[in-house]
Amino acid sequence: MSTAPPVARAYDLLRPKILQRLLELRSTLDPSLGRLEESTARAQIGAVLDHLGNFIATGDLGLHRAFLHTFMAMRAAEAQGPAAVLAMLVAIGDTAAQVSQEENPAPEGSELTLLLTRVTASTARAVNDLIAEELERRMAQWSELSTKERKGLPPA
Amino acid sequence: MVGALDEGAERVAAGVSNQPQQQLQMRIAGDTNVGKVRTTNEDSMIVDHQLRLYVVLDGMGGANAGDLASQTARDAIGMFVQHQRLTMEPKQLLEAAIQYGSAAVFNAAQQARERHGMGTTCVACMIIDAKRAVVAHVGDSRAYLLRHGRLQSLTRDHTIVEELVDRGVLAADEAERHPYKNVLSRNLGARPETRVDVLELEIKPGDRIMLCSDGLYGYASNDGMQYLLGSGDPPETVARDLIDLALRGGGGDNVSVIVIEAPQPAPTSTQVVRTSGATAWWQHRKRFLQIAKDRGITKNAICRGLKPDEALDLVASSLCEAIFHDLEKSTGVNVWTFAQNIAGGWFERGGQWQPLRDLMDILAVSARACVDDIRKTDAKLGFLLDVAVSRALVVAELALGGLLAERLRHVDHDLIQIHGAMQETIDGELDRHDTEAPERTSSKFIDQATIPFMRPDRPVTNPGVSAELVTAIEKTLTIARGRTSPRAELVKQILESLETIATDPSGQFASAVIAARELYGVRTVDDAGVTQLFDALDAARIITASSVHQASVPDAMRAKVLRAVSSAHQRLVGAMTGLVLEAVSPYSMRLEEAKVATGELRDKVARTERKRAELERKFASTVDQSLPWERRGTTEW
Amino acid sequence: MSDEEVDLIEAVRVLRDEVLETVEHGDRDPPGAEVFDALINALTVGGESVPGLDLQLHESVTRRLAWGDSEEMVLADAERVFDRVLFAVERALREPTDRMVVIEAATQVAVTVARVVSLAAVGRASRDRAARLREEMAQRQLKEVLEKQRASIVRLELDTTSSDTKA
Repeated sequence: MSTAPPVARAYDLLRPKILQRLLELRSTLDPSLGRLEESTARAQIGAVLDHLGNFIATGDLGLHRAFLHTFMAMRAAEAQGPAAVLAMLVAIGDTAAQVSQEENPAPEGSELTLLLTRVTASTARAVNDLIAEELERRMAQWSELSTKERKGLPPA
Repeated sequence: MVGALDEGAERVAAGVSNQPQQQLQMRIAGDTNVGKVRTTNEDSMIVDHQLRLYVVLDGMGGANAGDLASQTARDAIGMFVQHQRLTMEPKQLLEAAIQYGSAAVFNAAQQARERHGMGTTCVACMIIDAKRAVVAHVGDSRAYLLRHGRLQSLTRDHTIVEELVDRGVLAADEAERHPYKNVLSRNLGARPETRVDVLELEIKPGDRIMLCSDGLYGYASNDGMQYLLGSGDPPETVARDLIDLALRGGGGDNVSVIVIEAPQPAPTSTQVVRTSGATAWWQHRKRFLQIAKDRGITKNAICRGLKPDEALDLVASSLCEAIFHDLEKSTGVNVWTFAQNIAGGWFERGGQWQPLRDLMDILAVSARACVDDIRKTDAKLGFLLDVAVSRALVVAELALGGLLAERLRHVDHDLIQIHGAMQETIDGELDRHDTEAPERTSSKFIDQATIPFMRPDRPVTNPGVSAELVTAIEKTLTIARGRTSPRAELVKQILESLETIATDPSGQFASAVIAARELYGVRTVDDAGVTQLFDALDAARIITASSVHQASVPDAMRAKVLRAVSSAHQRLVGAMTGLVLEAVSPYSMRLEEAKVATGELRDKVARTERKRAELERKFASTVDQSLPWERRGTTEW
Repeated sequence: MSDEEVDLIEAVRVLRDEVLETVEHGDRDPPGAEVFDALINALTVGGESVPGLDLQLHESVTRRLAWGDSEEMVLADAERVFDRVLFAVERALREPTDRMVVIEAATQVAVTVARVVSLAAVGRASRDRAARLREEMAQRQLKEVLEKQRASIVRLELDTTSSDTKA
């Protein structure tokens, strides 16, 4: 699949509409977003859309994973579980693709619509890998603590 | 109570046939089920096309009061709307009807003692015209809107926990785990009037509104509900499938659903995918299987023990079929189910993540290769399928993510348990070695200012204990101790303490606190420790009360004895509770400290992220955009 | 229920305003109302219904705690109502046997409230401990992220510098 430079530009042009649609639907992305002031929700969602724009331009999965890792850790610190974070990110990607489809309904395709769909798939895959890594770490922790408990040692 | 209705109005409680709303071109259907655990269905519904009124009610209250409550409210609301619809505007009408329902339930509850406390939730939708509806609710039955394929809740539950989240006292995730999460803050019937939340909704073509009781969303995932509502199936099929989903999820409660559809002709692209797209996909299934085999699917650990043909059939072919069915119906439920089944089964066998990841990658690459083939012969169809299949792969990842998150929750729970248990042991050790704890002094604990229940301001209820009363108290408690089983050592100790407290001439609280500390001893702060204490306190209360009647003293003295001993008992219980509260207070303090530390770290991460994002933006502007997307960075697709 | 029992319940019921200081609180529900109402229930049922537990009282206390009233506040209200009931029946009820019936019921209610409050406190402690551990886990994740962010920044600075050089 070839991509011409205009794809990244097309995304930038569409970004305000995507953001507006997401703000309207924000309580469906996550109930906590629905409770925030619009300016705060705008900043949070805007940060995700900014990064998506960079990912569309760079195609760099390493940077994408780095962003997702930070995003998930921040949400975990706000007591938001990983499944909810995954659902939110997928919803953002889906909505972006949908807005792109509406704005570029030509059947031959909007490269941007397709790219956004693939980006969403890539995001979901990366998030699951991150969850699996965290799961592995916690299981190792549990294993260590179980051993300490059996030996009557303190936890830390 | 059934109101008089005009003939021709169709009021049914369940299993409504799909009656097209000719004038509004809406399709509406409802269904209900008792669930797998309950024996009575305490839900009620109104599906009245003439009144354009749709209501779900979920009754509560013991001894069959729940179904009486929901039926009473249902009949009252229906009757009110029937009679007042020409005199009030819709928003006002619906609110007033629900208020009328609340009064009806309240009045019915007063008529018999066993009905006290009965009530019902209510969520209602009244269609004004093709573009407007009014939605009103009280309680935790919900209204949802599916628009542009996304499910959103139109209502917020009237539970105490939700109100605390709104006030910022609880975090949303804490709310999910809170033991009081199902305690309602509002319902119909608790009082004659109630507060009703009402909103007016603009209906757009293609919207679907769903009204449901908590028996649905409590047992069906949000994603599952979204897929089923988002399918092209007619409302009665969707209502039935939603109920099946709740039953498969446990079905622990009555479940009722009403689906209201504002139809719209499906976009051309959706129709193309559902017909030609699905057909083209199916025609490439052999190619899909071949690619999967070439990429090593039969050698994946998940397929170990299966013959190659079996592996292909059970794994690759299943996904191929799932995608086909989802393409046909514009849903994601089949791929979702496939992913859940394969991952769930693998994890249950103790399987690791990597083989599952490898398997899903093989299937994804095989799917894309087929789509690329289709694209070569039909660019338009290929593009539509590319989007649809990518979407299917996202659905699979969502299902996997759900399972991973569930496992993470269990491991977290186990970690917390084991850590807590180990910490309890350490705390207990510290308690036992008083001399090692620097903050403990050798002065009497009653002198320590930290004890919260040393309240000199409490009135003394036994001012001056006469010698005669002391003798009577001693006699009574001797009888009580004699009637106590030798094994009930704690009860005997309590009775001794009661005697000390009740005969204390100062009538102060101090003796109760001293006794409480001695009885409390070194005890773990958990249900078992506390329950044992209070069971013993209750037993002592019962024995003492009956012993008072047995003591050979005049009646007037008997009453004084009971008053003195009961007062002592109440003080002892109060002091005991004070000790429990004292024991648990460090946990809250440590939690607050941890929250502060997390907040500081979060701010640091946020600041660093801003810097990183700035650099990333700069970097993005330098990337060679002429390269294909897959070759610019470290992508794999 | 005998006439005497009904009369006794009525005689206690009329003490509500005095015991709860209703006038002072105006339209608001007076604190401790759930305790007095439980006392009336206990007198109505008579004897031990479910050993040591009145479901309605349990729910009322749970609801107050859920709304955010502290355990100390709930307990203090219950203690105050108990004390005031004892004073009030001493004055209002002539027969010692009547006073004894009320005192027994009041003590039963007092123990139930204390039990519910204690168990709620223990539950809260358990939740707080779990929540603290979750905070610590979140902190660990954030520290890891901080390290990775720093590495990412170093890489990006290098990449953008080399791009500037080439330009």
